[in-house]
Amino acid sequence: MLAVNVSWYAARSAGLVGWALLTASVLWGLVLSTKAAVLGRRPRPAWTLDLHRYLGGLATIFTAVHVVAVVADSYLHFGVAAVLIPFASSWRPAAVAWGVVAMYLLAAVELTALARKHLSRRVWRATHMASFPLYLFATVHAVSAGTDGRSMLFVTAAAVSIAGVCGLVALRLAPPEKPVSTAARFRERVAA
Amino acid sequence: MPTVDPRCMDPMDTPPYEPFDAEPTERSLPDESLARTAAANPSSDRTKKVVAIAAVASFFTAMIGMAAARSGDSGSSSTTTTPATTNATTDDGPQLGSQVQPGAAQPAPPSFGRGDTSSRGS
Repeated sequence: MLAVNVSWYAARSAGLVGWALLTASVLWGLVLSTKAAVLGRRPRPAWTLDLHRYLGGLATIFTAVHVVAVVADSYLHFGVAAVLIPFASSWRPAAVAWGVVAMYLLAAVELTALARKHLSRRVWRATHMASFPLYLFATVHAVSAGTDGRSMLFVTAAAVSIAGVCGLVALRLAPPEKPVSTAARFRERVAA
Repeated sequence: MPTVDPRCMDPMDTPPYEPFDAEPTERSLPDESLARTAAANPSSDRTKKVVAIAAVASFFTAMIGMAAARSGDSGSSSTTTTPATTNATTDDGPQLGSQVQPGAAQPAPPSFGRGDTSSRGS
């Protein structure tokens, strides 16, 4: 059974793992930018940035496996156009279109991340902000088009990850606290 | 008023990242040196290996789990249904050769032309 349906199972598995890696990359990027503490301690920025990039790269690889497996599967009859052009699919065109757009956003974010040294900060930053709609579109695609999108396990994982992303975005948008330096604290102690 | 040596200041006394709508500045973005530092860090390599192994293991575990679930469904349905009714088991995939229009109802469970009578859902 596995041999017969290997491309079908590969498409579903790669889609789920790719979504999980994308979620982890988004969360890790927000941990980096908010300097949030993880498990009670603040991770080193260098380590956080490196892992954020690595997770994004792995998410891209699994997304590529997902797309190739969908095209290769003989059951679904997805042509190359169906996975490259939004609404070109005859099967659930809207649900598939979310995934197509998310794929392009992922490609844009990853390519600009790789070519960051050659881009202006403004261009890189504007493109990197597409990570948020990318995460949203990928999640909607997984829920609406995925065979496993309505399973309790996936719905729970999606809800937890959305809560995490929203919480970190709120932290990111919050007005920054004025840092109190050690020198200021020392002066306050002396004055007291 | 006593003075404090800047070298004694807390390294966390750095300003936070700028808000979303602020102009990007050089100092607020992660420095390329961070990546170089991390690349030379063996613990970073270890973490990446663990993440990669976990991702690949999850991929294959999910594949095997789906196949096992499908086999379980086929086994249970074969004892209770005829092959003709097994074709009507729940499947989230499209119908073979169907042209579903946007906004139309979900496609009907497919039938397979591969010689087996099982569907591919779950």
